[in-house]
Amino acid sequence: MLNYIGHRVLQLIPLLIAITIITFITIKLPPGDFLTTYIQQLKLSGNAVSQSQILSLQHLYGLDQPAYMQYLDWMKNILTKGDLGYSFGWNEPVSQVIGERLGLTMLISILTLIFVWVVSIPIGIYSATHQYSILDYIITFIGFIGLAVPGFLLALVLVYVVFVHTGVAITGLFSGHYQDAVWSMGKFLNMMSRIWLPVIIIGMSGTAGLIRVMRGMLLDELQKQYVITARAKGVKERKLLFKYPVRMAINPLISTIGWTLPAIISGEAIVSIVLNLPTTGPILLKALMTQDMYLAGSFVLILSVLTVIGTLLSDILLAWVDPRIRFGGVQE
Amino acid sequence: MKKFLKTAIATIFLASMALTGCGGGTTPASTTAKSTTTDTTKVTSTGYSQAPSLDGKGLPPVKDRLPVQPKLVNEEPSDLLNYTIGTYGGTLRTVTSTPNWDADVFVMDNEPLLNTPGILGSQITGNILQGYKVSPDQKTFTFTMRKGLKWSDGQPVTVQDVKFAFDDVLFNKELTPVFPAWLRSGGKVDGQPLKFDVINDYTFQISFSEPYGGFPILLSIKGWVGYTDLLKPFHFLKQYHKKYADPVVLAQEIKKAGFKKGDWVKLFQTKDVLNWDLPNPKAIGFPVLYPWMLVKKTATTEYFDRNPYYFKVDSAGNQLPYIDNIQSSMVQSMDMEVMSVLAGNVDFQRQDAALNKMPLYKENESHGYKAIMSKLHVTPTDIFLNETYKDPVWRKVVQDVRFRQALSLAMNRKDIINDIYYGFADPGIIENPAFNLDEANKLLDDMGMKKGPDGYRVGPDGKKFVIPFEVAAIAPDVVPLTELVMAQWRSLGLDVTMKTIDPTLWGTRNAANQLRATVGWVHTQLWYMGDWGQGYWGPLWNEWYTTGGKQGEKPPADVEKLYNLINQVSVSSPDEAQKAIEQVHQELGKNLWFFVPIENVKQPVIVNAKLGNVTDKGYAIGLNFSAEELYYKK
Amino acid sequence: MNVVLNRKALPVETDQQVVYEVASQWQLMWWKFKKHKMALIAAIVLLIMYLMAGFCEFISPDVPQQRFTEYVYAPPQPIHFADKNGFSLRPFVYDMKEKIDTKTFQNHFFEDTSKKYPIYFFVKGETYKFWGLFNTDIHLFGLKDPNKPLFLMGTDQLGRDLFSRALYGGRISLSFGFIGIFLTLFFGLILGGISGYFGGVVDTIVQRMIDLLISIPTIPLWMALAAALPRDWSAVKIYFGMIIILSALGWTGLARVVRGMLLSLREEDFTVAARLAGASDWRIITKHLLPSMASYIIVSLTLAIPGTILGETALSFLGLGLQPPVVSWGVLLQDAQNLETLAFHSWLLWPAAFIVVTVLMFNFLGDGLRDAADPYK
Repeated sequence: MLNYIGHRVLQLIPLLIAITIITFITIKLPPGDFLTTYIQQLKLSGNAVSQSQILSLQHLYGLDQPAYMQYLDWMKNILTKGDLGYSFGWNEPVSQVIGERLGLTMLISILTLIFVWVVSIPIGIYSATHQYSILDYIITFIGFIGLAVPGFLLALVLVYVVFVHTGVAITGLFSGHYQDAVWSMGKFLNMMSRIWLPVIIIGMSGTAGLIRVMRGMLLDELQKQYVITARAKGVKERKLLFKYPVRMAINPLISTIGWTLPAIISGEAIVSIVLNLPTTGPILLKALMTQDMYLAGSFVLILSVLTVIGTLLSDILLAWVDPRIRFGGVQE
Repeated sequence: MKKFLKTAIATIFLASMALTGCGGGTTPASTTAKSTTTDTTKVTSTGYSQAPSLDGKGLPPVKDRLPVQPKLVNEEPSDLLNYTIGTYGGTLRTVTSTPNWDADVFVMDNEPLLNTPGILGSQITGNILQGYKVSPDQKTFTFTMRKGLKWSDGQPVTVQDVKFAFDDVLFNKELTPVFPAWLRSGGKVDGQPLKFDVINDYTFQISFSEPYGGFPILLSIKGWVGYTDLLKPFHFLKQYHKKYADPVVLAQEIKKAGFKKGDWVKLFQTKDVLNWDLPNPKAIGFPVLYPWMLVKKTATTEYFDRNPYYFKVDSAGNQLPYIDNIQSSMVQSMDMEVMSVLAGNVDFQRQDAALNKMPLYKENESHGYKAIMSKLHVTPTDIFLNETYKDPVWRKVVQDVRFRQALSLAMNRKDIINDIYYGFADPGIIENPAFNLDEANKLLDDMGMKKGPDGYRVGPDGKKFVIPFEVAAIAPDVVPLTELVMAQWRSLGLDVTMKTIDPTLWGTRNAANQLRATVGWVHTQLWYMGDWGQGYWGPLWNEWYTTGGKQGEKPPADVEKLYNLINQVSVSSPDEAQKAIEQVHQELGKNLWFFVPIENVKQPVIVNAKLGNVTDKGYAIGLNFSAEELYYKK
Repeated sequence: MNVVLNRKALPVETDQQVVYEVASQWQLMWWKFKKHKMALIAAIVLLIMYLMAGFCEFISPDVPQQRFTEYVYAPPQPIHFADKNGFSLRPFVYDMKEKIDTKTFQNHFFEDTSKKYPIYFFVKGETYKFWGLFNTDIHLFGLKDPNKPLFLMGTDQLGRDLFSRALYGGRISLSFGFIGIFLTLFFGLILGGISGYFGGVVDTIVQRMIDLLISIPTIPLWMALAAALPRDWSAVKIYFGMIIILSALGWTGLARVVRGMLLSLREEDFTVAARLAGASDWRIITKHLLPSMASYIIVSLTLAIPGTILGETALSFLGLGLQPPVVSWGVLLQDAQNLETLAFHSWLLWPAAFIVVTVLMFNFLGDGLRDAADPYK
């Protein structure tokens, strides 16, 4: 196993370099650049932008240099100074833009993850063990509805309904003066009273997938020989269920669990936009759409590193959970 | 409409002649104010007063903070606003959905060197500058500054600050690689750059080699220009300028900012705050002349506090602004902005307030705001056919004025006004607003564009003629209007199609002369902007004209005539310009270079119900500019 | 004690059991499928929806760009069967009159009971091209006068019938669901299969490729494609092209899971047995291993199709996907995605109902199919 981990870590470095290059190229693919968008925005609002000012801005943002120079500058800053670059859209260092929002993003993401597991796994198991019962249909219906309704629409509807009935406008995670206030018990409670809305809306879209996968895998496992044997030997149903089949059923979950780590960092983007949450998802989205080069590039880089590490963790977990798995070639 | 404008302009012109001549501000005099109306032409008290929030802060007395002759506020002319003396206090909350850009706050804060009340362009008065004189040949302009005017950090504003902006920034080849066209003689890209001379501590002179009567209006409003191009705080910026800074200290600053050694230009640019940078974090601590200055910025909110050295007063001698702070919140979507408004959390909104939301606004006015209907300063959805698109068949058809006439006759203005603008607009009268499908069809038949077997008209090459619209959703009315016009023009038997594309892509394609038909807005009603959509309906011709013939394509004679007329407007004094404007309108009406189907569109503005000095007359953006006049009624 | 073989006690094969044992694989699957009642219902509902989308031109009373200028933002009309004259077998609607309140800026429509419009079937309406083949003007139902209002789901800002537009929109949204998944399925299965089965170097290469591909941010790709594809292509064609290209990149999730499962399955006894029997690797992968993963593959497929539909709505929300004048459920949803609609024209949310039902039904169908294809029962 250690050998295996060692190999994987070695592969990390060329992989990450390749990722940075491809990411950088992809971000710059759409026509124009950040400045084109920025200047157009200024011109459309009636501001006159002279040729000289355009040239100055290009020089300031380093956009007058060839692309490979921009890439090398970016990489150099990251590797030597840990400086992730400067965000054109926010006029702040990238680390500040992301750092300000990271904590809340992770909080919401983890709460959502817990919500999804707490809801989906029991429903999936129930659905597999009580196939075709009325309750099975009802519960899975509830589980699926979250996926079926587009989250951003549901978010808007809920915000409006709450407003009409209570006069309270949920325009963000915090109300009024708590927005920029220092952290206190009051602020924490205020946040807790409003965080349920995004967690449920975002979580609901994830429950359907997990329920169906759990159900499907568990149904497969429950028909296998070892389950019938165990049952014949008198093992209690519940113990039987959780000792082995559920572990096997989680196989696909574990294959992709590595990818939940970057998902926790970037959070969900579209519902966050509608609900005005101060999270990193919308930031990344906007950065990609406006070609805010360093913000988008550095953020994607962080996510990629986490993904690669996550994949490694997934593989280790896979081998640990299923003792039959060996990563070598097919044995003869 | 035109007639009203003419008489209005004449009246205002006469009034302004009586009031201010061509220069001078006002002097504090102790004439008695009438009890019912407020005489806004003179400062009526012998002393000045300041906002209570500034008391006890250890500032110099208000008389010393104001210039010797403070500016008597005149942002809204008296026929548009019945000015009442306001009371101090309060915070004005705004909302935006773009990071580092709040259009409403930008307009509120914006201070030009000279100004034109109501942004009408009919009268030019002193603003930051006390006044100006124009030589009879209109080549030389002498500007007087306000003695005692101070930056927001208390340092005096002198001609040194202007000299620095000209000699050390504009004329410095490293900071300004290309000298701006608007500061050259005749406003031409190859014109001779202006000459700058210092007369004394508070007077300077700018001279051109050609008459440039339109120069004052350029300094007062065109392009929402502020003062930052021509007036910079020397005492602050000199430490970042190669000519004045200690080389060792400068090198340290460059290193601290993370730039390459010797790149002082980048350092200077990051320290200098330009006009549209005022909501930028770098503006914190930068000396400014705005009514409110940025003091704090968090991830979601920007806080602006009053500038204790602001140079304007009202006629009772109260130092403006009345309102103490501005708070600009950033939300992430338009719906959140609307939600904030409906909940009563927004005290002023103009840019993002939209007609289609009026029912919502009206329904929730109990939350403490009012939705008033003012006037939009642009024609929001003008239609352009690109006559310089590189396809000879396309050009042959589109450059034929009969084709454009037919298309204009096929547009049902009434439908547009009712469906897209809920009745809150008038048919555009620069061009003939008639709706006559028969005549339109006849024109197309006369052109030889017969209908083929599939029912579509063919072009001169015998193939189906297609008008492909490519639009971007830069405003909520663009896409529905394009759909509407598409349906209207299709009834002529033309194959009109439409695609909605990403705004940046749209801008790029337009600049590259790749669009054939599109929709956008034009500052048609603001004559001084010189914006007649030239970049949309003839990009190559416009390029030729603006680069002095170096790039692009030479326009036909009547287009060049139009360009010359437009240029004449920009170099003439306001009253001369009116004649040229008339002619521009006539040329537009005759040639239909682009389509202006509607005008006088109403623009909703959200204001806190307790705000005073609010008017719905005039332009909504004019009200926005006059924010220093707003106050909270007790 | 003697164990007496009581012939009567031996289980006798009933007719039903005989049928069961000789039934073909497909019949077995059908019987298993029928057991899942919700899946049956889902299959029927989806069939109806696809039929409606397929025949949308015929079923809609209007064509999508047709404007009724007097009926802007008109609410859905109630269908009546009885009026003061009594019951009538033929349904009818009343005309609508608009009243604009200048103070609240709201417009209301009231039923004008003086004008009655009976609904007929197979009426003549606007001409359309049936499947692009021939012109016809027969609609399934409508009013005798096509210019009079018949709005089952109300109208939008330009006075266009929402019901017709929802049906036309369904054609695009429902068909695009299928397109993307084929490439994903193909690459995911093949590459995941090879990676998991052979392990070692092959596994490493494929896995690192996956790591690389999932790091690529798709939004700039989407934007770049939108700009790069030929400009004379229609908006729908461009969207089609983008989906194909992006699906060719989207196989990573499936591949990774397939690989994970193969890693455990290849150590199973039946795999070893097959190899000992001399089966080729290809045969082992396709005939033995992949069917064991059928359950997961079916689940993932039937999650992917509605995923494409939902993805389309998300892209339209961001301004990256289909935009007007194309009519798809995502585009129609954009008209509904604002506060004015929720407050005053909530009938514009009907396309959302279509989407919800479609996604729900696909999920239940997926469960049913998975049960039907279950190799273990």
